[in-house]
Amino acid sequence: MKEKISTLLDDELDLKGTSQTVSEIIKDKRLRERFETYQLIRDSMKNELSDATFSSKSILDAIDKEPIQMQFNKTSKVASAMALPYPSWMSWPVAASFAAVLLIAALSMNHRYLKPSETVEIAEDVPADYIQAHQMLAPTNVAYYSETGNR
Amino acid sequence: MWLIILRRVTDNFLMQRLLFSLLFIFFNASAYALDDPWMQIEKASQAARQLSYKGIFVYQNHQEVRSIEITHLNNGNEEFARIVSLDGPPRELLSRGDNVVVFNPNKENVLIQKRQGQNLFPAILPSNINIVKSSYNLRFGDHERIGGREAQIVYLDPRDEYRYPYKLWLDKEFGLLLKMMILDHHQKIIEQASFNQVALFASQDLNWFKPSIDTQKKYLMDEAPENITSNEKYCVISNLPTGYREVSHVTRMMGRQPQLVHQWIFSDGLSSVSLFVNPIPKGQKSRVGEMQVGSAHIFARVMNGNQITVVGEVPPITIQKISNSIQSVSAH
Repeated sequence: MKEKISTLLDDELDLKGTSQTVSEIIKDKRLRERFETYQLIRDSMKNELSDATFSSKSILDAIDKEPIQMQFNKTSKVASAMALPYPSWMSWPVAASFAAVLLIAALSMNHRYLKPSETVEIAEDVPADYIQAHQMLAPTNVAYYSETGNR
Repeated sequence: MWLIILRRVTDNFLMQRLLFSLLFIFFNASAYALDDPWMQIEKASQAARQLSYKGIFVYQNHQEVRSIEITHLNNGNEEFARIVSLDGPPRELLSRGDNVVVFNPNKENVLIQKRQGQNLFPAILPSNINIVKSSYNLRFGDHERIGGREAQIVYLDPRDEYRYPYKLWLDKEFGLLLKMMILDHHQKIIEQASFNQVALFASQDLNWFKPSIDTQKKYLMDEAPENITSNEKYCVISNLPTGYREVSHVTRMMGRQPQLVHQWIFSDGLSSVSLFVNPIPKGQKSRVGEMQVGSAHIFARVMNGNQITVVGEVPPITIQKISNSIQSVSAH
């Protein structure tokens, strides 16, 4: 379908093919978004923002528009998760309540030292994928103008 | 006179009518501003979207500073914008309405990403300022010159500790935001953007609306997984920080071992926070703790076998409060 959209935008589809492609675009929200994006890229790169562009856009204007879905950069820099045995402490029976209390108290007093081995401090494994997902869906100036947004 | 009207369009009668209609609207808005101070903010919000302007501004976030060129056109029907990073790696953004594309050229090719864009400087103020009114107090400051223009300083002081103060410089004539500063509670600058030069134009010519990239390079379309709007009651969320509202809830695949992640966006009209919740896959490490990356604060914890991660350019207390707003979550 991607090729068909591209061909449609290049005005190389025959009349029957155009009609079929347009009706498929109308039915599918994701195809409509892809059509708009391809159109923007094509028009801007060819610098062809003309009346013809506006008329092709009018195909989509006739459709009830839904919020644009966004896409993400796949080049995440997050370190891969390590495969470790399932945490043994999670399956401990709560046999002695005072032991649990002691454990909680100890964890709260020295969280870093006694943290379970299956967890990692985010300072040691920066959740870059989450930061990126935040900046892309809740776009702020940072997402566009700063290095943290350009990962 | 600041307004630069390109001579080649002065014979375009329709364009002249459009321009004078816009100026009439803004002068009228100025009169209202005398009655209601918040009209200044509304005027600034409209000016950034309705006026056509070109300028260069300096953007600073944390230790990073870069110059950005922006060209924005409103032809009466649609908004077009081209935003070019002048420092560092070449990167530019083209937008038409809500449709945003980013071009990232590198040595071998050009990576094209589809993005969602809104609230970018100078259009940082929402269309509906009532949302902002409930969380910030407005007060006027002095006058200052920014980029050769007379500006009125306006302070948006947070009503509580869950958001940062904003300092805004609004063009006295047209209301356009010329400079903005986000400060922490110790008056230290977190984020800043300021026009060095800016001019209005009346041309509808779109010759500038094209990326400045090597057309001989290969183009790669970044076809990343899409977000799906979700109505699933995956978590019970209550007691959000005052003024923050849910503006979206999506699910998407994330990570090297792709897994379904729920993402909520909460906003007070100016600041946004993301809450991520996802079941921790067997054998995968969970993340805990808090840290700061640039102007973003991040907090991570585990609840019922789910990874809870909160990210936002807001005070740490807001991040903590939103993390604690999860009352229950599906067990895994």
